[in-house]
Amino acid sequence: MKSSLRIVVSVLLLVTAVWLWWYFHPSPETAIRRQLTRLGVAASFEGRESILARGLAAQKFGGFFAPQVHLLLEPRDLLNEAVTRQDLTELMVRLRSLPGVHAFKVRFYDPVITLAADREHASVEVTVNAESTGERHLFVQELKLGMANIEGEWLITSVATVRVLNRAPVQFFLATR
Amino acid sequence: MTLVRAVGVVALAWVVFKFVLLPIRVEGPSMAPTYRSGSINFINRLAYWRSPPHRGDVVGVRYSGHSIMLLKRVVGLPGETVEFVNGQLLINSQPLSEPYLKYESHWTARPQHYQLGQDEYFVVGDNRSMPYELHEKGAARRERIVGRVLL
Repeated sequence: MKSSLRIVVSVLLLVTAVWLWWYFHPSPETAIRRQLTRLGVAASFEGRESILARGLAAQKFGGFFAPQVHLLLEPRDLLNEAVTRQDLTELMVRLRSLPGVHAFKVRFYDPVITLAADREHASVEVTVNAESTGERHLFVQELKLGMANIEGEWLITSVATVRVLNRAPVQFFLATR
Repeated sequence: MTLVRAVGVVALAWVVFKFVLLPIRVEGPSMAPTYRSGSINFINRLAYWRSPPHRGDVVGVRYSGHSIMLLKRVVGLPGETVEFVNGQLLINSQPLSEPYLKYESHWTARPQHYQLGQDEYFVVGDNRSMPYELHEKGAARRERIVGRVLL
């Protein structure tokens, strides 16, 4: 009885040790997935916030990006192509201050991670879904993120929108209603 | 024995609904009235295993994965030209009969037409009474078409 108890305890200890090792030493893919989940939480908010809370949350959001981020977004005039972390932080403050937006939830789905040979850089194709009060799919967009392991943390270095459907040049189309 | 059967049924259901028939919930008005927002359906991933998509098929078009998809109808096939004139869809400059359309449309996309590549299918929703700019449509590469809607 005593020896079987020892075996059970040993196995439990081994499983716990393996889990702890996995948790604190994740593979790059796991670390990137966790980072995207955290980013979604940081970009989301619910209810009215104080100015201080809004500033802190935006600061946290900015922390997911490298000091310089290259953006390639459609439409092109939405943001400049090269922005700083500070620009993104300010953008998040503005978003959280929009009148009428009392809740905003961001989630990242289906990340497809391709690691570079050095395993310190990665390209991530991911679908972002933003929902606001009453709108489950306010914004759905596939993104291609460039990420780099900077001082132990996977930070976003570039963001590009991916077209799921190619469209003809918009200027030639005329909607009549 | 019952437990084994139950496990087998669960495993089979998991394989079927994960890899063959993807359950979907339709959201948004772009496929109305054929598919209404909130309705449940399935995408048959084996539909195009041995044959390419056909004109008129309603298909799922994926983003980076299968969690969120566009539900659209294939109207243009590889190599064809697509244009809208006063609500009429023209394929290679010839009007296409679309009995599934129930709402009036006034879309016009002249003088330019869309020329599909050799790996592209033009997909659009059935609700063309929506404003043109708000309706997601365009050319989907073959590898983005997940399968055909089942029901």
